[in-house]
Amino acid sequence: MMRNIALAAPAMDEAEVSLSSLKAGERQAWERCYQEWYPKVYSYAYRRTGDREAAADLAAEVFLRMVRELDRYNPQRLSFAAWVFCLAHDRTVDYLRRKGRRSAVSLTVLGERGPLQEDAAEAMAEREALERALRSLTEEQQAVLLLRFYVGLSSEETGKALGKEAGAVRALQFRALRHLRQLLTVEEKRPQAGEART
Amino acid sequence: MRQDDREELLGELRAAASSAGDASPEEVSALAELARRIRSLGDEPPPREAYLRGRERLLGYLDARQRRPLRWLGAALSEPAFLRAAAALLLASTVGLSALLATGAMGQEGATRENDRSVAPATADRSGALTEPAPPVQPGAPGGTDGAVFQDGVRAYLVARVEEALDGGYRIGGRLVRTTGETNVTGEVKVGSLVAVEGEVAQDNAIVAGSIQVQEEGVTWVMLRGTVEEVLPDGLRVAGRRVVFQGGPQETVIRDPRVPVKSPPLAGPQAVAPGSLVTVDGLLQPDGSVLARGVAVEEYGVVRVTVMGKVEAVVDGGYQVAGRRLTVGPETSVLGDIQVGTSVMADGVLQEDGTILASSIVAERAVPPEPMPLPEVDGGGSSPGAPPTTEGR
Repeated sequence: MMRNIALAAPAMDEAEVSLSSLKAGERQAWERCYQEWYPKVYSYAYRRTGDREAAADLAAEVFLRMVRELDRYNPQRLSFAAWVFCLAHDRTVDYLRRKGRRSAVSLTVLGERGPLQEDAAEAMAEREALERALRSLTEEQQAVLLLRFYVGLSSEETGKALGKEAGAVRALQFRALRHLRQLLTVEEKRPQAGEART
Repeated sequence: MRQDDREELLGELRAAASSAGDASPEEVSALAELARRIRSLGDEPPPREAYLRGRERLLGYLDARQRRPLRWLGAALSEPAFLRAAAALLLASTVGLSALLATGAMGQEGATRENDRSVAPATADRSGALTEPAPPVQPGAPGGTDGAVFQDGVRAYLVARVEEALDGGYRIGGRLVRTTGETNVTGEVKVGSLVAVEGEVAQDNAIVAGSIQVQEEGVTWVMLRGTVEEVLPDGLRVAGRRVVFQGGPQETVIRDPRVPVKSPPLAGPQAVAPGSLVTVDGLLQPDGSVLARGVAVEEYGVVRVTVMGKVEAVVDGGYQVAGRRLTVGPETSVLGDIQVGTSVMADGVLQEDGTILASSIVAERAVPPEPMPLPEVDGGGSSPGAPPTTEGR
């Protein structure tokens, strides 16, 4: 059986939203588009920047750019998802460059949770560890893993967003996953060391 | 079909591992598992406020684009309302707000354009389209922004270069300007200086200067007229161009023509809603933005409001939501089944009577967005998301 590994980006109902409606500036079409895509764009920006306010602004700006640049969008060349995340990636990179620093997020905030069931707590801890490890990657590695697996773009589309060949994306993805695994291995050992001390 | 499958990813990883030369099959499998975990992270729910703010920006921007194309001064010179605003702006920016308040120029009819060298950047197109940022225009250059004279009754406001020093005055922008003992001169007036003159028109058509103010050289003074597309923390986006308030909005005059001219003219940028038609004067910055010295609101634009709450009543022609009357018009888009008790989010245009002409009314279940359902990792088929019209690659 074929197994899906790519995350499905939001699907839009053809009957309700079409590219021509968006190009015509129809409010309803854009509202639906916004409802469907904003959370994804926001999530991507947040995971890259670690800053909720910045991510919200970036996501909003991506939509304004979508409006401005939709006429230039060529669906034959790029899927809508890839186009949206090309814009999102560009804006995020601009932001990070302006900001002049790597993304940072308060680890203590991530750790502040109410009481959870043991399984849920464990799943949450794993997720947080993964998010921390992702943020420790280089910006290029973060981008390739998020675009490929979180957003669900193909290697070719990710390459277009990053300005790389698909082959380079695949090599980068391998190195990024390997680096991520190493980071997670280190992460997993930390609590054990702590427990040993106590 | 945009989805990769696990085998494809494994194949990619194996190929990369083979190139790297040091990855075991177990490691490749572990990396594929990591990819699956990234995929299952899901969406980070956006803060509700941010979601709504972004939505409002988007809809305001769409409205603004539909209402007015990009326009520069050159496209609007024939419009009397613009001339009045421009005259006032010239005065406000060059001879000071106090003079404006004293003359009440903004509120008066009858300003006329005597010299159309006030046309802003030469690339401005009378059709209103300006696709590229205007190149810097040096003062005095053909098509430059200096050389403007606006006459409002007996008062005249002139921005131009000093062409000749005369006995008892100057020739400025082709116009005789007389000075008197009462003339307030700021700066050193020399031949070639760019100056702003405010004064009265004498019978021989000379201007008897009340004030002459030497303008800073090497700057490009522009006027931009267009629709406010966004209100930014430090300014506005007008007709696609960023307008920055110098030193914060409190130092920039924002004028609402509906407000009597002698009332306090200062207001923050929040007083200008997206959709307002404004004329901005200021300095063109190297990045294409305009550092505003003054902003005149010509038409108070659409004031968009968002209302959230339960439908309290179905009334004639609309709904009562959170104490506000929403009118449903032919352009209103309604999403979801809306009845008394339904939580809705509506946005629309505030009317003079306080009602809201709804642009959209959306049943609450869609806002804030629920996390996107994640497809089963091992399941087949769901498309990763392009609108159907864009699926082919």
